This record gives sequence, C-alpha cells and structure tokens, in this order.
Amino acid sequence: MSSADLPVSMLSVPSFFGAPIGDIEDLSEGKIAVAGLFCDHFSEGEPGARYAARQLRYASLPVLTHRPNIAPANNTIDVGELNIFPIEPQKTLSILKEQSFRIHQTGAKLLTLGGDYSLIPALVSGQLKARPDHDLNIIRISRNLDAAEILNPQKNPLSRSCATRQLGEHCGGSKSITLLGVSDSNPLEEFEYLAGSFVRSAQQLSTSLSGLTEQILKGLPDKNVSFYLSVDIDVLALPSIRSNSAYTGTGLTPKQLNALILELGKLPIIGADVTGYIPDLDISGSAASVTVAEIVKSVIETMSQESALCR
Amino acid sequence: MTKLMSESTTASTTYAGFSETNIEEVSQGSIVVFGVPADSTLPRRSGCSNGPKALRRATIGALGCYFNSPSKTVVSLDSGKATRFRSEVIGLDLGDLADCTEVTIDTLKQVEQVTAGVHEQGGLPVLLGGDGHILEGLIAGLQSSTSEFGLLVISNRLDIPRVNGLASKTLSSLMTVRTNPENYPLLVIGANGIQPYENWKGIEDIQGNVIAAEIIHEQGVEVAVNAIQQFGLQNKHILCVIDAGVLDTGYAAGTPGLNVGGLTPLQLTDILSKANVASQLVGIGVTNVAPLLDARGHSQYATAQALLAVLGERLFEEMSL
Repeated sequence: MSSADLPVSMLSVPSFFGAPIGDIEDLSEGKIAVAGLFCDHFSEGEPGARYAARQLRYASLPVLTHRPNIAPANNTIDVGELNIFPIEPQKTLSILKEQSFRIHQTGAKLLTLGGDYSLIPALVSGQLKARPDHDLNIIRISRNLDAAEILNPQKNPLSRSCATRQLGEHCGGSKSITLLGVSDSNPLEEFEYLAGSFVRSAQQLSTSLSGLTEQILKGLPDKNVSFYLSVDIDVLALPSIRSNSAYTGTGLTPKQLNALILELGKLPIIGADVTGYIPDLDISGSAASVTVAEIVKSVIETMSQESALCR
Repeated sequence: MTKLMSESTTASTTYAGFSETNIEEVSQGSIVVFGVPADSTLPRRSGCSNGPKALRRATIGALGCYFNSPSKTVVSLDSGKATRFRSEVIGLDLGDLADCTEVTIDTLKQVEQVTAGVHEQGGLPVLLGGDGHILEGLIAGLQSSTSEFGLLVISNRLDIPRVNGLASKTLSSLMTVRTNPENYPLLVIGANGIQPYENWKGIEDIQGNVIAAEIIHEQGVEVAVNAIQQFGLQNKHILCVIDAGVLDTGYAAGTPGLNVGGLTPLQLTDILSKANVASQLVGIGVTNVAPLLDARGHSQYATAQALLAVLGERLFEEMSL
C-alpha cells in the first residue's frame, strides 16, 4: 500500500461543541456568539475560572464524540476570547462593554463562558446600549446573592459581591432580578435589598420546577420583556466540580440544573453567561469539564428556543 | 512562660478575624486559637504542616456570608431564621507553634504547656493541627489543669497514629486521669474500617462508646446526635477532637490517610450543629488536614465548617426578624 492510500483522520481545532470559528462579521440575527472570558483576578474569590473556556472547548469534543445525538446547534459561532486588560480594571470594563455592544448590534446573542461574575455587569451594559428598546430582566442561578452595597466603584470597579446589585441598577432596580438556587445562608442586608425580587433556594427548586417560568413572569409589571441568563457553577452540589465558592454539599444536581435551564427556555433569553467554574487543568478535560459542557449545551438550547410565553 | 509561639503567625490571616496576640493576653471566656503545623511521616501521607494556615483561610471563606453583611447576620430562605456572628466575642489567635515541623516529644510538651496555660487563664484552647498525634499533648495539657472531662473524638480511627518514632496509642489509653469511674469518658463518632482489637478492647474497658460511620449511613445522623447528647449529660466538660480523616475520601481527600465510606461533609456539620455541646467545651482540637492533597480544597473547608459548628452558640446567635 502506498503512503497515498493511508487513511488520514484529523481532529479539528477545539471550539465550543465543534462550532465554526468566526468573527464579528460572521454574526447576524439568530446566531449565538460563544466567547471565552479569560479574566478572574480583579474580584474576590479563588482564581482559576479564566481557564474554563479553554477547558470547555477541549471537553466539549468528547461530548460530541460519545454523544452524537447532541450535535451543536447550527446557529453557534465560536468567536474566541473577549479582549481584556489584565492590570487595568477600568479599561477592561470599557472594552467588555464595547465588545458586547458590537456583538449585540449584529443581532446575534452573546454567550460568555468562564471568568468571573464581576465582569457580567459590563457585558449587560453593552447589551442594553445595543438594544435600548429592550426591557431586560436578569435571571441569575447561583448559590450567592452577590447583592452587597456598591462601595468605592472608582477604586474597585469589579466586585463580585455587588455584581447583582450593579445588574439591578442597569436594568431598573431589584425587581428586575430573579435569583434561583441560592444557599441557605445569605447576608440579611442583601435579602432586604432583594425584598421585591423573585428568589428561590436550591431546596425549593429541587422539589419542583412546575410553573416556575409563569411565576417569574407573574411578578413582572410588563410581560413584554427579555431576559439575560447568568449561571454560576457554584450552584452545583457536586464535590468533583470546583467553583470559586467552597463546596458545602448543598445545591442542585447537574440533572436538576439542566432541567432548570431548559425550563427557562420558555422565556426569551437574549444573552447568557456561565461563570465560576474552575477546571482541573488536564489536557483532554476531566469528568467535571464534561459535566459543565453539558450544562453549557442546555444554555445554548435555551437561548435557541422560541419563547413560548412572551414576545 | 517561655515564648513558644512564632513572632507572627505564619498564616496570611487570623482565625475568624480574631486578634493576633500572645498567651499573656488570654482572659476569662476567650476563644484562643493556636496552630501546630506538625507534619505526618511515613507510612502516612505528608501535608499536615499546611493545615493550620489552610484552616484559617477556609474559616474566613466559610464566614464570608457573615462578613459581607454589615450587621454580621445571615438569613435562611428555607427556615426563615436569621443568625448573627457574635463579633463581640473575645477571640484570640496566638499564631503557630514556632520551629514545629514534625511531632516530637518536645512538640507534645509545648502543646501541653500552651493548652494548660490557656485553660488556667480561663480561655478555651482551640488547636489547629497538624498530625493527629498532637492530640496526646492537648489531652495532657487539659489533664494537668482540669480535673475531669469527657473526650469526644470525631474520627475514623480508634487510636492516634504512629509518627516520627512515636508509637501509636489507643484513644482509651490517653485518658489517664479519671476521677469518676462510673462516667462514660470516651465517645468516638465516625469510626470506619478494620480497627485493631486492642483499640476496641481499650474503649470497652473504660465504658467508652463508638458510633461507626456505617451506622450513621444506615440510621441517619440522629443516632450520632443522640449519643453525643447522652455523652453531654454524663460529662459536664467535653474536649472535642475533629480528625479530618473521618470524612469520606470522595469528598475530602486532603488527609494523611484514606477513608472510603467515611462521613460526608454535610453529615459531619449536621451532627455537630445538632449536638450543640458548645457550652460544655473545655477544649477543641482539629487534626489531620493536609490541604495540598486535595486540589479542590474541600477538606479544609469541610473541617472549618465542622469547627464552626462545634463552636456553635459561642460564635453565633439566632435572631428574630
């Protein structure tokens, strides 16, 4: 047999679920731009989530190989990592807002993976700038409320502990915030700030998801709204998954989290993020990365759905 | 007293934000934390020398929800209860024992000296270990300064390990002072796996009790809670020892030994919260935390949570909303 007859099989460059790699000119209405956030060090908490996007690219390939029935949605495009300035938080905020603005201007939805929750208000701010006509509400799935008072925004522009409050300020107050999967212990003052918000603990969600989206909509004055979905991996009660919050043994199982995300697909989700996951830095992606990749897959499915309940 | 502690704690933060001070400052009713960074030696895995530092950091993490609240109060969405961290409590951190790398005779004497000193001045000694063998020094220190206490050990073993040439000892043999033979002076919660016959026999000889991890898995945490409460009725004063080795390796691998079938972190904190022995404590020891063996950091966090659960009402109070 000559060398020309040898079967040659090449693995593609890792991208999220094998999605095509593109740039802003490839985006348009109906597309989902998936981007990595290589930034986890400006705020409190353990660093390491900057590597999540890279690891999820590796880990999502075996998901495709072994589960061919969950082929990627054909509307996703991997646009690489968003630009940041590693030692300049104010410039990082500005450039994240600008990148989010430009991506949303194309009509595409942005899904960011990895990084720290403290960056998300900048991305939402850019989204609101691009779509000023949208009445945007936030759905945050996390163990923590992260609604502390905003102190010294000039000195500490990026702070996870007040990121939910920052999102509330961008979107018109605490009533625009829905918090799901929160832990059993959260600061009193943060609960008081969120008194008018829709808040459910992990324990409450683990019993039933029935009618959840209807309840979320019921509390909103205007039913003609869109939603931004923010998922923090710290909500998982799984010791093998490391997040930037310590493991407590309470929270949701991956199955419950997937079911919750898919339930939220009844709502119009026009932007999303998955933060907080700190991967083990092996080459091919560990079992934990594969689990998180499945959760990301659910987020993409949810973003791809036509809303059954509004718009 | 001879200066035993290092000039400044080697940890980057003090325990629960307590003041860093020296033993002369100990006052009646204070909680006095000190670290003993003594490592384990073969055949056990090393790494316990980082235990005190990791426990301090993990405790700050575990208290984050309190410290993020200006009123130091957290609310439970499920129970509707509010709990406040009692920042007015006198808490002191003496730092780590200086020049301590392994458990030696000298280390045990130093632990004994510090423990006795803290107890005599009315403080509650809280030892952050270090290899499990340092329990010998903690018990000796309390026995030299107090007449009677019961030993509550949360561990997968019925002995303290052999280390650095020091022989293994059964838990029952550590209780050398017993003024009331009718008492039931030793309770072990979470024992797991094959244990040497003499360890069982020793406990039986002093009318001790063992609640194995398997029984807790089968019957629930209430069986352990009831045993501790019964133990509390028979012993006015309790020395509580939390050996991180009691945790199942699947949840917390950062210990010198491995424990398949141990307690889950949730079971451990549940037992200690519900047992509520805070008012009876004369001392606490936390041992066998080897953080570098657990890349995910669960071991030190689960052990820090367990220690906070033992301190219970000394550090926290329930509030009405």
